Amino acid sequence: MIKKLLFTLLLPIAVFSQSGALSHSYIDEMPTGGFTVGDTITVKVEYIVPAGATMTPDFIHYDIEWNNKLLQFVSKEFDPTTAFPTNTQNSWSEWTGYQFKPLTSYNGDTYEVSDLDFQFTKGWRDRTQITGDTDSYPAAADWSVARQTSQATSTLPDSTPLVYIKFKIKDRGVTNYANYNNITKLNYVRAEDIGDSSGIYDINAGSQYISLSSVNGVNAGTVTINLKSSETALTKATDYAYTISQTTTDSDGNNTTNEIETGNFDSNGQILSTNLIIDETYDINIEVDNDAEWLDDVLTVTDVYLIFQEAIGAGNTPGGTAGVFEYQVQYEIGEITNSGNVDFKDSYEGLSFLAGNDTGTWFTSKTNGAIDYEGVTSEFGVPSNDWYFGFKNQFTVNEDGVINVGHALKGDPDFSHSYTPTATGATTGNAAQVARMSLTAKAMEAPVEANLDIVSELIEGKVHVSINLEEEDVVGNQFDITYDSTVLQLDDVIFDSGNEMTNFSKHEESLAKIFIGSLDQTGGTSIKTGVPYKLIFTPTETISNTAGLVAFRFTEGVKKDGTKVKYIIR
Amino acid sequence: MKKFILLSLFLALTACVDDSDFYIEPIDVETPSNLFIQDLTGVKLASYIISEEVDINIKLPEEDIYRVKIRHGLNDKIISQEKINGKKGDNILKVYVRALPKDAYKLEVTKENHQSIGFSSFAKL
Repeated sequence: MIKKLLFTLLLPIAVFSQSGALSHSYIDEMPTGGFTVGDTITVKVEYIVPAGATMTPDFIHYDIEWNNKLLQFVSKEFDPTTAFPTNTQNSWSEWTGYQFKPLTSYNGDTYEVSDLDFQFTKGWRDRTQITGDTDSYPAAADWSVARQTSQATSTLPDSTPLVYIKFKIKDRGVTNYANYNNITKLNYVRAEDIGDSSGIYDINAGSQYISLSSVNGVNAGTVTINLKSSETALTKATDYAYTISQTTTDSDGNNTTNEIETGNFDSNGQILSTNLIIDETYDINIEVDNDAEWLDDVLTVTDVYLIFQEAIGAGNTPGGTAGVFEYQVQYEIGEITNSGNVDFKDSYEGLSFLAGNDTGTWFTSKTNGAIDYEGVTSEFGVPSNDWYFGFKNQFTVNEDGVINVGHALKGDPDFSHSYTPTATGATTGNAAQVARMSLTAKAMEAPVEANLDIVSELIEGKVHVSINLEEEDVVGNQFDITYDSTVLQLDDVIFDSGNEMTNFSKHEESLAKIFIGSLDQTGGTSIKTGVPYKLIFTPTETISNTAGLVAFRFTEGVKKDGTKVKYIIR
Repeated sequence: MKKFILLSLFLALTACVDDSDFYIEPIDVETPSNLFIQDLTGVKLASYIISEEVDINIKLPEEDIYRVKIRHGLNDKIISQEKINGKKGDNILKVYVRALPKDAYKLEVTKENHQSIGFSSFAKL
């Protein structure tokens, strides 16, 4: 009788307790005595269906994050046991400098961080629509995120590795972390049987975090070299290659240079080297990969505006002569004609580049490649007899085992992709002469945010792309747009930015890219609000809508006082 | 002979009519089973891992102007956006991804005033 009663009472729990689990763990056997800095661990991610439950997902999408100060991502392998259906498609995306912020309260109810399907639906997917904290992934320099999406036409098997992820253990001795606790975390999951319209399965976290209880070799000879640049540049740290070499002199005074190691910075902008010896001196050269997609984002309207303002001596009063450059290194990285001086020719060259005339060769761009400067941060930007503008690319390893190297790109006087000097003697003194905040300081401040409505529409068989500007007092704009050249053909670019504006447009047909914008270098006229720019395309095939045909890659504006405008496309 | 004259007259008359005088009845495209949406509104893609283009069903509450937004998968920044004249019920459209970098994205459908109708996510291979 009691048995029957218990059965009756527990039956609904058994039937409706359908929560699956997403879990992860490292599969390596811990060596006797624990792991050692530099060891590689393999993390397995899998979903688990509890006994009695039925889950047949053919689609899984989850996010995992890791502490990039303590772990270095090495590689990933989908379906390592080859158990997925043969038609499975897998996708992997990675981002550095973000950490998931779980949603723990919604509509008056409390939710667990481990409620992974809730964290997907409300914590991430619908996050922009909730009341309160709408940012699911705020910036967090110490964290990196990866997203796996896997889809098949039949069930992705449970209790089977979705992926193996390899991480190298980094030396926490050069960080502020006291241990290796919670160095990875599963953020959310969407698991669904799309074929059977199951809806999103209820999934909780199994093993949601990984900690390493025993790691040896902390502070034991690993030298950390930190790449120092702007936040924007550091999100692309893996595009920075380095070479460390050492020059020795024999008894006859002959120098020999040996390459010690070469490679790329990790996604956290670091090199972990075990090849360097304390008290010995090395040279380091840093070069951005010339194929990096973002090289055309370095020299922008803000840089050209700064160069022109420097050339006219607009730093103090209309009749004054002080420049606007606040750092000595700006005279080198803002000098883009190789004339030795920053003058109108430089601003003309910059404007010409924005207008699509790739005539100049003395600045960073896709065509020219990267023009790099590097030096230890204690000297970077301070001219001396020994080191041109303080570009001292030489260091001696000390007991700390930490070396900081600043990097800048030619054509970037607003430091959007360069290190802002911090060493004593790096400034020009112009700031002191300027009663108001200087243009350089304004250009380096956090940009003002402004709404922008860019939208494509199918109108009478043509695709119209309208850029609707609401912000006033903008003297320069730049938009980089890509389009699907297999479907669209550019017909026309229409400007309505104002009669006195210098407009530019550049169509790189082979890359399906369009660069458009305007700049009044004198800062005397603002760009008209409304629709200052319109693109018109002809479809080369029958289309019924335009979603995704035109993408907005880069947008930037600059105000008269040098403030950068960050457009928020609504 | 009568038949010939009548036919000639008919052809002559219809040849003179401007195309705009014809009313073209919109043909409802049958919703494929893989794009069926049970709810009153919603968004469904035929595939969630895409390399070139994919069919999409956007089920709308009423005829109106809507926005189809493609956001970056992490920071929600809008990468692409279009305006459509949507009809009530299923709207079978396409999402083109060739112009997008290989990455993960969020697709959002909103009313013209940015009020959200539905979301989906996808990855570009």
